[in-house]
Amino acid sequence: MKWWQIRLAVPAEASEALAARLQDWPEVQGVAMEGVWDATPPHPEYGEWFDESLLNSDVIQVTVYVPETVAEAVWRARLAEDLAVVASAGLDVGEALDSVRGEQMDEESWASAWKEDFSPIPVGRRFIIVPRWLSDEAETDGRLPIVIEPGMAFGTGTHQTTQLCLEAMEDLPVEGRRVIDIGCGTGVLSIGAARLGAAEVTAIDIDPVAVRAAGANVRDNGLTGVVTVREGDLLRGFPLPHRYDGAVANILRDIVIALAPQAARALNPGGWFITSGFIHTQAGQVEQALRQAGFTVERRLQRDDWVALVAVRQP
Amino acid sequence: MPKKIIKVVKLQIPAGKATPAPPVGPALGQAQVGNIMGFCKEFNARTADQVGLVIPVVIYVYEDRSYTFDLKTPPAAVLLKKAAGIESGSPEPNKKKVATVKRAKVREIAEQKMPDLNAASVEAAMRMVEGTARSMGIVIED
Repeated sequence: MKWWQIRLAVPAEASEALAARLQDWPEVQGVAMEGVWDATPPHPEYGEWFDESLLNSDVIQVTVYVPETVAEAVWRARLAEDLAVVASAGLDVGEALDSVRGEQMDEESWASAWKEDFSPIPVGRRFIIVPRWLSDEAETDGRLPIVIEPGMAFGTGTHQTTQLCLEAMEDLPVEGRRVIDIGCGTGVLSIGAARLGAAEVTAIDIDPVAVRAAGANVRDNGLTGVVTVREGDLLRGFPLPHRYDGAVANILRDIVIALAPQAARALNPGGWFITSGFIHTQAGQVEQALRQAGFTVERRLQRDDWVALVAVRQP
Repeated sequence: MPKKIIKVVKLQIPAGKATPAPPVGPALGQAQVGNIMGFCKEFNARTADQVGLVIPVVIYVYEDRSYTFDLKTPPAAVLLKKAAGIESGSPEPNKKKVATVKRAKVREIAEQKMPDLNAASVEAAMRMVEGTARSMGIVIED
């Protein structure tokens, strides 16, 4: 099926009134708006922040879709009328009418297109991250597959920090060891540790959505016997069943700094700790926090601006 | 994980009835995020009690193209209709007025909607809500 994608730019103050009128078009199921900003990210407690380009936009890009059977002249006339009504209600519509663009789109272009944006990603010497829908057919070239469903948890495999953590893990003693993944997201790093032969992996996250996603990914990888996923916050006294031989925390500078003492307590002497989620200009502060918590920093990996550190807990 | 938000899209869609059809499919598709069906399922589950209402949902896309979403209160137009006790706005808002709403109510709606309107102040939000009311044939009275 083909659709008209109709886009226009309106000053923010007129967007709510215009959207209400568009919503009443008989063929319209919903209205999309970009340029909308919030004062705070949805989950600042998880360490989120907005890219600067998203802040303080005065213009909203409004998009609606109608089936291609609605003639261009018909929807253009309706749009002109709606804008006239909104303007006569005293709201500034700017040059909205001149900004109107219509484009015909095939349903296929979005139904499957997003999948093309995700392909198997070889990571380091030993891993390959495979989107779930390709798990039966993807060539793994003898690499250890980590099957992930990209969705609502961080850790799809495309981010530099995910890759750096997996690369660091390849060179550490994992086989037969106990590993904890703090802030597991999709569980990508836990699954990586299990693939390297970890005896037991505990994956924890404070976000219930991540816990659900990680649970599903662990099942898809057939690793429910090795990886246990739990909702919890190590900073608020999450009870650990025993000490671990390795830990990984790919979160954010401030959270990693706050976590360093807890990570030290969670580890056996000589245990390794991989941290990432910060850029090179922040790495010094993280290194200092690690040393203060009783770690020796042994390795620093960098890709683009992002850094991962490998530390070892002193005896 | 390093959760920088690189894209924000607000959709106004009927509660409990999201499908991969427009605008959901293309909006998520163009943001290059995965699992459109997963979004629909989650949205429908979380809005099941509000069927019949249009609900704004703000989708936040992270750097690795994972995403999250937040549900907002119904659009100003929906809240205005409720306050005025009408089913729909006027077909000819300039000529035919269909209801009146107190200015105090407009302020209340503006305060309620502040979090997802691009308004720097309650006054700016009130201006948006008052304009929306007039565009529906609703008269504001003091």
